[in-house]
This record gives sequence, structure tokens and C-alpha cells, in this order.
Amino acid sequence: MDQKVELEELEPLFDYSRMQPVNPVVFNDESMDFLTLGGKRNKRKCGKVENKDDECIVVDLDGEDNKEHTKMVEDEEDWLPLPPPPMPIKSKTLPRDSKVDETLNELRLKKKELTAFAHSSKAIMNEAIKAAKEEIHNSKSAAAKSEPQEQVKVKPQQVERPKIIVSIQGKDVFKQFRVNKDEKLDKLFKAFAERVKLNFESLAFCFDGEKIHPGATPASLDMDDEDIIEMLVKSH
Amino acid sequence: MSGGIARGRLAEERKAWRKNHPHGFVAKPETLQDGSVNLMAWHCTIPGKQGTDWEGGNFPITLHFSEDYPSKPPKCKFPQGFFHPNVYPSGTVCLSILNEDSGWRPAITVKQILVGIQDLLDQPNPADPAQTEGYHMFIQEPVEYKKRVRQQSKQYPPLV
Repeated sequence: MDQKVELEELEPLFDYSRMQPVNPVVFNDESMDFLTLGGKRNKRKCGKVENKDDECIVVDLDGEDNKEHTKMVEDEEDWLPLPPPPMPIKSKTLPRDSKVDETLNELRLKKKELTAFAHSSKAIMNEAIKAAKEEIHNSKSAAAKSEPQEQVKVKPQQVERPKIIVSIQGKDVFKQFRVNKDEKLDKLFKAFAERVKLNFESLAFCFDGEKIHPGATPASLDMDDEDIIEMLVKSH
Repeated sequence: MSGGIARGRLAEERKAWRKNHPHGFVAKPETLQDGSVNLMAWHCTIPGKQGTDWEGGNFPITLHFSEDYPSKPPKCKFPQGFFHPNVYPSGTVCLSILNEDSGWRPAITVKQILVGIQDLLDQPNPADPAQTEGYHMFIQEPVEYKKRVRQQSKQYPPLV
């Protein structure tokens, strides 16, 4: 930890990364391996730089004398003053075609176009999603509006069905459900039995010490929010 | 008027019970013939503990609250002749936490009372007998006592 902190603190002052090989190199007078290592390091750096369009332009300009530069390094037997971001990969292709700049520029333009296209398509998709959502919402509200009209004859006063939270408690289970107050509890019990993986037929449900008859609703039992229904497993 | 305090507290107790109570227990104020609710008397059910001779029984008990509740404890009554060393022949439970002069505190809830009585069922207190039959059998004929308890549990079968 401490070492890291120290490094981080020193970094803004001196960029040691240029002066030190990434891989520890054993200095040996007989071989000059470390020089080639330095070259490798260059390539790596370029790989990183390549991603940034702006820097590539700069690199391309001095890309041609890159090879010379590496030679120079060899001559100097010094890996300290490595060029900031040389591009050996690019330099390979450069000498073959002098109009690489143009093609690269074209490619960049195309890339920009494509990204712009991607952005615009995203925006279009978002708009489409929005529109779809709105449509759904509208249709829902329309349905809600039309529903009461249709149901006026059946349930004149119940546009919104009151909901209630019902707790079901067994020996080892406690679950809460939100149901319509005027909905038959049987449906809930069947769903509950499935959820706790018990046979519905083997269960009995009681409220306040009385068995709940089929067809009972929270309203008919005069239940309040979070009232507990007891689940019993039949003994026979 | 202290009656207001008793009723207020009982209404709170009931409200709390509806949302949270131990499994298998029942506790509700009695409903009179005219449909009105009497908060001063509660009809309750205590299930026998699993793994004991009381298992399978659902024992009815009535809690009678006075106007002095919660300063004074309720009177808790099983059916007349209930078999247990610490239950009077009248059915009234003899338990320290239900004794005004001993363990009762106004903060004790209905839930705590009922769970306390459930504990008492399988753990009678021979130092405080309330009926001769249950007491003697518990002390002198443990095998007979067990048999009798199991038989009584069958007399109070579960609802379903």
C-alpha cells in the first residue's frame, strides 16, 4: 500500500515509466537484449495510443523516421530518451503508401459518421420506446375510461376496487399478499399453496379461530390491512 | 374513569394481535348476541406445544378483564374441570404472572399471557397446586398422568 501511494505521489513530478523498462532486465555487457526489449515496449505503447484519434495524427507525422529513431537508440546505447509515442505498427504501412494520411482521414471520417449514426439510431430507438410507452399509457387510460362505462350497469360505485394486505401464517411461513378486498380468498390460497409447495387440499385456512369458508372475501370477513390468516395442515 | 383505560389498552392489544401473533393461537374479544363486541372478555385458544403430551390439543381459554386492567391482571379460565396441577376446579389458571401480588406487571401483553400459559401446560409448578387430582397424579403416578394429559389433548382437537 505504502509503496503504491509513494509512486502515485511521485508520478506527477517525473514520469519514470519512460526511463525504466516494464520488465526487469538483467544488465549484461555481453548481450544487448534490453535494447530490443525497449523496442517492444514502444510497440506496446503505440497499441495504447492507437485508440486515440487525435494522437494518431501527431504520430503519423514522425512515423516515417521511427525506424531511424530506434537505430539511434541502439547507437546511443541509452534507452532514456525514447520518443514519446512512436507508432511502429503504423510505420510499417506508411512507407508503402504515401497517401495513408488521406485514407486514414477517410477512415476516421467514416468512423465518426458511423458513431454519429449509432448515436442517432439510439436516439431514434429511445423515441420509439417513448412513443410506444405513451401509446400503452394512453390505451390503458382509455381502457380505464371505457371500463367504467361498460361496468356502470354491473358495479356502479366501484371504479377502483379497494385493496388489502393479507398475511398468511403457517408453522414455518409468513407471507403477505396484496389482494382485492372483494376477491375470493380461495384464489389466493391456491396460489399460496403452490408457492409453499403444499397440496392445497391438505391445507385449511382460519381467521380468528374460525375456518374460512370457500367463497369468503376479505370484505366478508371484515379484515383489516395485515390481518393474519392462519394456515393449518389438516391432521387427517 | 379507569374503564376507559382498560378498554383503550384492550383495543390496542387487539389491534396488535390481529397483525402479529404466534401461530396456532387465537385471541378475540367476545361478540355479544346483538352483534356488539365486548372488549372485557376474550375467547382464546392455546395450542399444545409440539413434542409434548399436550401436542394436538387446542385448549380454549377465556380471559376476563376487569375495569382495573392493566393495573390488575385478567382472570384466565379453562373449561371447568380442566386437568392440570395448576388449574383450579373452576378452570381458573394459577400462574405467578397472573397474580396481582406476585408476577403481574401492567406491561404484560395478552400474547405474553397466552404464551406463558402454554409453557405452564407442559411445565406444571408442583409448589403451587390448584387441584388435587392433577397434582397427586403428577407427583405419584407419572405414567398415568401422561396418559391422562394425552387423552385430554384429544378432547380438544384442532379446528381442521
